[in-house]
Amino acid sequence: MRRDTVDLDARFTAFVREHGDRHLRVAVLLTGDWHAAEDLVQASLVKLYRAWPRLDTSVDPDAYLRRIIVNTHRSWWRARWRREMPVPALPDRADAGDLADRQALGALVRQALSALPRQQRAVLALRYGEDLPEAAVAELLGCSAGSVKRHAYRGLRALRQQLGGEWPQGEVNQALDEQRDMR
Amino acid sequence: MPETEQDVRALLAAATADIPPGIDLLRGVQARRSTHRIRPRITLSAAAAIVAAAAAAITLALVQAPPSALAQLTSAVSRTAGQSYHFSATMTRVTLPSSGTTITSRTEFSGAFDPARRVGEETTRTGAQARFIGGYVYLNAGSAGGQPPLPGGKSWLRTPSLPLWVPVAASGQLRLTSGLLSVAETSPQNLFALLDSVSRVNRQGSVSGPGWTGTRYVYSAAFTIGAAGSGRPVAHATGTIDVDQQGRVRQLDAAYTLPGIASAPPARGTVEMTFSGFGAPVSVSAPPAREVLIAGNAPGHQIRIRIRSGA
Repeated sequence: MRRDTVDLDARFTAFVREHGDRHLRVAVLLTGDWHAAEDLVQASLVKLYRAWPRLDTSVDPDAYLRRIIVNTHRSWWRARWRREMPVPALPDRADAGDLADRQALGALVRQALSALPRQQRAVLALRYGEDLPEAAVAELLGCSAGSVKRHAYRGLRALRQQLGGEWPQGEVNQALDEQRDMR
Repeated sequence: MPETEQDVRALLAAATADIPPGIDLLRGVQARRSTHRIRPRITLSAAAAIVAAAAAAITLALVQAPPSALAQLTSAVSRTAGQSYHFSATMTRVTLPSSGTTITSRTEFSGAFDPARRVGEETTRTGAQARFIGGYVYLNAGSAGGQPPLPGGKSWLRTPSLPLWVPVAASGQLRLTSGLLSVAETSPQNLFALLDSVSRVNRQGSVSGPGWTGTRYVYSAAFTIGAAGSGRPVAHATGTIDVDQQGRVRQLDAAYTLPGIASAPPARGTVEMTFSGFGAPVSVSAPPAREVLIAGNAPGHQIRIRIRSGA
């Protein structure tokens, strides 16, 4: 294998190892399912790899990959490549507790997100999951900042309704602390 | 920062905190890239391109792709579900009614099944029993407290059992037995039927147990409760399955969520099930007729027996 290909592979591999999980987390907010998220990120990484030799130093590969993920998810959704099942109303808050409870909470939230329209879900994932400013979210989704505000408002309202209006704060705060420690 | 935004950030963090094991982004990318590497080699002169294309085709034909993880798992589940076996299990369950407190239970049970003879039995630590014989299941609540007594002084309830003996690779539905002992919903045969709805399987690596070595698989499944295509709610399960070198399931672990179904509230739970005694005889007999109350002839008749926490 040529030296430049070896270097490219090494840099790409390092990028995926360092940043892959972060994009996987955004992808699961978009898809609602870890394995669909894995498919989405892997397909997007293949596209990134092909474009990698052409990326110049001014391009942020994180932002580039994020755009690929958002666009790929949009095209998959339009093609109904992934069936999205309607979910019933979610149960009340479960008791706080051990790892199984936290995992169940995560599954509940992902289910609630899955029930949202695609644009609302994407806005919540990018605005609050990835902490992007409104203008950046608008540019990624190809809409106005006003639309981002509207989708955020409606998505938050629907999320609260899905989760019964009571946000399970105990294990949520713990999960937030754990994620901050990982970043 | 508005309280609502902070709340949703925390919730999204919770929703992304539990990356399941077995996800390997690089491995998947490498696998996808390998299907594209052939193409650049064919952009040659006409004669060389023909030779290169032929060589690539021959190479691809000679490479025997190993069976997929899903194929291997399906084969193992089919083999295990088709022979007699013994098992022991621990099940936890949290029932989430729309009002009132949640109901939490933990149950340890064991049993044996012989699908060829259409018999099986399960017994909990408190002595509650389920005996599956052909198209029926016989239930005895044992010493589980709080159960209403059966009329006429009977100690067994017989009710039709939805099929447990249908071979794996049928319609992909989770076939619930008719209510009964809550453990019956996680009978091995039901779990094997559940695995027919697996959507994702990955090999995780080698694993071993007492007297065996094998492979661990990570899976996720989504399935409808009820008739296919009826728009019924979707349930989900994820977990691991260990398969020994003889292609038999040795350990099945599942974490599942069940949506509300008719009058039954939503629930979530876990099952850890260990298999052994493959091919060993399984002896199950119906209880004496004088002790049996026949619940009815309609499939799906439900009577729930709750196993209290700590049972």
